[in-house]
Amino acid sequence: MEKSIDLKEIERKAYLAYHQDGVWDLFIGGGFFIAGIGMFFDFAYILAAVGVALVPLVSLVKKAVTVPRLGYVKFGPERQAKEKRNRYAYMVLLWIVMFAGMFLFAVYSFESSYFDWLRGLGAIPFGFVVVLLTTAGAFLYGIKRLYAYAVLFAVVFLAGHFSDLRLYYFFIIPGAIILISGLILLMRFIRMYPKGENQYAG
Amino acid sequence: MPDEKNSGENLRPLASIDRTIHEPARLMILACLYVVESADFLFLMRRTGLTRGNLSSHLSKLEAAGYIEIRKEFVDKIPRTLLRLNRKGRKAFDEYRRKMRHALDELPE
Repeated sequence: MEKSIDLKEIERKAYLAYHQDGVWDLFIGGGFFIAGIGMFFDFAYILAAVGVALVPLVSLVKKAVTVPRLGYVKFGPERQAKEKRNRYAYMVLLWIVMFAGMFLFAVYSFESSYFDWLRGLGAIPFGFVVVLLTTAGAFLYGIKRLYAYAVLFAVVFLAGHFSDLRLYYFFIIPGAIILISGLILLMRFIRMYPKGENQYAG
Repeated sequence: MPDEKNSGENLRPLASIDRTIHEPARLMILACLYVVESADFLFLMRRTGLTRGNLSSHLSKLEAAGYIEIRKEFVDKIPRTLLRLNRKGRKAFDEYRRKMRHALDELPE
């Protein structure tokens, strides 16, 4: 017989259940896929801006799809504080990435031969940033499949670089895979948790 | 027989175990509520795997014991039953865990 009840594990599983709906996967995968399509047709920037503008939709979709199926829960102060810390940590990371991006943009814009080695890396620095953000998300939020996505991005960006793959495929391939993964997760989630009544009969 | 006497002493805390909590379904409910601030009926149903009627019945018993608070509210015109483990419930659950751990730790391998 188990001597103790692992409350931390119960809490962790309850928290992770909310991330098994595939909604974030659909948005991340969809974002990359659409950006790749946009690159193909040469209007990626507009689509990227639309993608960023759609991020608040995630919480609305979760409210419409996840909560009515999984139920509502307010986590304890410890989890709430951890969530807040994670959000701040991710924001800081995003700022660092943004400044690094601006630096890279400047480097690519200048004609100086000093940065030739960096230009020679092609899309790898961008891939590194994507891998970094995905890994950070996996680590901070405990969502293990994000590690798999990070590996996928790393493989596609590295293999793509050395096989002279066109840039839009760097986005379309992982985007499509993550999108499919999100769809499978969502379908499984909907099947596993049909919309139930939230009524107490007592 | 000193061994038997010893074993009897070890098992004595088990006699004072809170039976309201000791029932497996209620233990699951309390464990779920212990780790959150509050949750609704559906969330508990999903986490514990209990049927609606079964969960309702156990919640009534826990409410009668004064361990949980049940609040009904409407969110976007949809009724929601919110459940919360109160201070008495937390204390009772802590005490239950302490007693169980103590009793089980004392048992020989």
